[in-house]
Amino acid sequence: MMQTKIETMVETNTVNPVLGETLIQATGLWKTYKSGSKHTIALNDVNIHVKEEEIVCLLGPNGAGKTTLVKILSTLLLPDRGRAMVMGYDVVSQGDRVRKVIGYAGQDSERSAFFRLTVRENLVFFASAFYGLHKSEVNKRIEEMAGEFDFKDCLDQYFISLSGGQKQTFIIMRSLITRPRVVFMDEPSKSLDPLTASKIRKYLKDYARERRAAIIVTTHNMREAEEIGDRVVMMNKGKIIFDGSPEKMRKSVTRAEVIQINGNGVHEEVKKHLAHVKGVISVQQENSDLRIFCEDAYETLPVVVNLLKDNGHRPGIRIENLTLEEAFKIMVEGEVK
Amino acid sequence: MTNTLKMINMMVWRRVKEITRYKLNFTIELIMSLIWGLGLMIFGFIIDPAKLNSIGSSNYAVFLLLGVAFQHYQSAAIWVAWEIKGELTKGQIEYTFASPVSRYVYMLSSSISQAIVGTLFGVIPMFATALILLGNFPIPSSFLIASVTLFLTFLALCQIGVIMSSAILLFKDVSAIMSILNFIFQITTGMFVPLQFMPDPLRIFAFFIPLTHGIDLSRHFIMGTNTVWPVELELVMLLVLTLFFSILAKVSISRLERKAKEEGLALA
Repeated sequence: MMQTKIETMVETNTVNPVLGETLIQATGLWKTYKSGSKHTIALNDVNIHVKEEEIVCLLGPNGAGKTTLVKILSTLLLPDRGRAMVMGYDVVSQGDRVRKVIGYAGQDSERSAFFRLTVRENLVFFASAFYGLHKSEVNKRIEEMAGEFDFKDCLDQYFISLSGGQKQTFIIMRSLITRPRVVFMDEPSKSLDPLTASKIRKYLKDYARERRAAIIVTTHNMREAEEIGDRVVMMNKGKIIFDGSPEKMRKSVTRAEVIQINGNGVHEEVKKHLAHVKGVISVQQENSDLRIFCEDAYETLPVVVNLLKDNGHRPGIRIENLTLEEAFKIMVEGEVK
Repeated sequence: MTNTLKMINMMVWRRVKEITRYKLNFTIELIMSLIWGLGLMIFGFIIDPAKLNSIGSSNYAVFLLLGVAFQHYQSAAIWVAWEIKGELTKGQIEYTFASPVSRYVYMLSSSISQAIVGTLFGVIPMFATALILLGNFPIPSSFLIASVTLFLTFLALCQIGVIMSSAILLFKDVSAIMSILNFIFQITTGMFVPLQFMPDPLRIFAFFIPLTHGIDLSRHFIMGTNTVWPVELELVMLLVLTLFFSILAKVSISRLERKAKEEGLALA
């Protein structure tokens, strides 16, 4: 893919050398929404930076401030306080310059194209009218990307006839067709089938490396965050509560270890007893498995095994790492080391 | 300038693709333009010409034809506000506003492209039908100067379209104001009924609407009708109003967009 050398999109050569390889930098961002007398703090002193070739996944529950942050960085919203720079340009005072170097795929934008045009026509229209690209160049890029996403069959279909997932693929293609150095994607894998989602993730990873791009992806999909995120930034109630690698995120919560038991046939009474074993913090049933969260699995394991044996159970047992999703839940509940 | 032309060109390309997508509907719409031309001509024949003599011409068919043409351009100029509302509803506005295109150019291009496509598939077939059947063709120089006044009027109306579009960004829905505007444009500007027949207060009000002067001057240049006010005054007024609305549009788009960005561009 993308055989051509790293290419300047619109204004790549005008990158502010002061920032060096950091393409996105935000400091002390505050944003409050006002609705009547009600004030909701969406961002509370947020600081974030993203370097070239880096993909950062923004995680957090609904209303955490992820979308607000992305909208401020892509010049769609104004911060109340703080400063954000994209490729050396201030998002407030140099918004027009920022918009030349970014690609944006927003949330809830599956209908955001012209229904009576085909996918190809829509892409040609947006890239040529909005970014001044030549039609033949756009067509070349469309073919290349559609090949990567296995989307060629849809190119000449009318936009209105696409499925939700296909429309989402279009939205992602549209955000990348100009080959921007900075990309913002708000829940890009929403409504995508697993196969397409995986192809797009691979494309994004390659894209970031080959085009030296900085990409911010907001997501609720932990697998996606693990797969493509060089860093995950966890937000809650407008604040960044974690910033680091997915692995570091798993390790940063107090309940770092899990004993997993095949729970088939284990009596309910025994399950209740497990929750009271010393060192066990909680027990969760997940399909047929029981996941026992504890601080030190090796210390807790013998007690758990004895309890099970005493009650006539010999289920399969293994020690596992916390999934990112579990770490996420724990973090949101406020149990960070 | 190049970007603006490219934007207009792409918007025309898009609109032609859209309107020709459903062939049967497109054919019927084209035929309807011809029928309109025929209908206006018949209407012109059955009206009492004596009643119109006072305005300097009794050719009611051409009088109406020009009125309908101006109505078309007025709709095209304001159409952008409906498009922005549509983008807001579809969630497309965020993509548009995250792109480098100037909002003013975008809105202006939307109206201009709508006018170009409407001219090709609506106004020209309608005029051609009516003029061929009437056997009454305007003198090229008159037609040219009338076109200039039409262009100026359209430009002034486009600014009103930009102001309405900016208002939509902030207030999310201004359909009611748009209806009032349409009413004012079609009733008080002499579009279908000569302004000379209207009461004085209405004429004073009409003096401050660019469309009034565009229609009055075009009819004067093409049909030789008497103008409501001196020709020079109407030309100056048209220029002043175009300038006034252009400044207002530029100010409103930057102010309203900023305000909208403080609150968010989404519809909710």
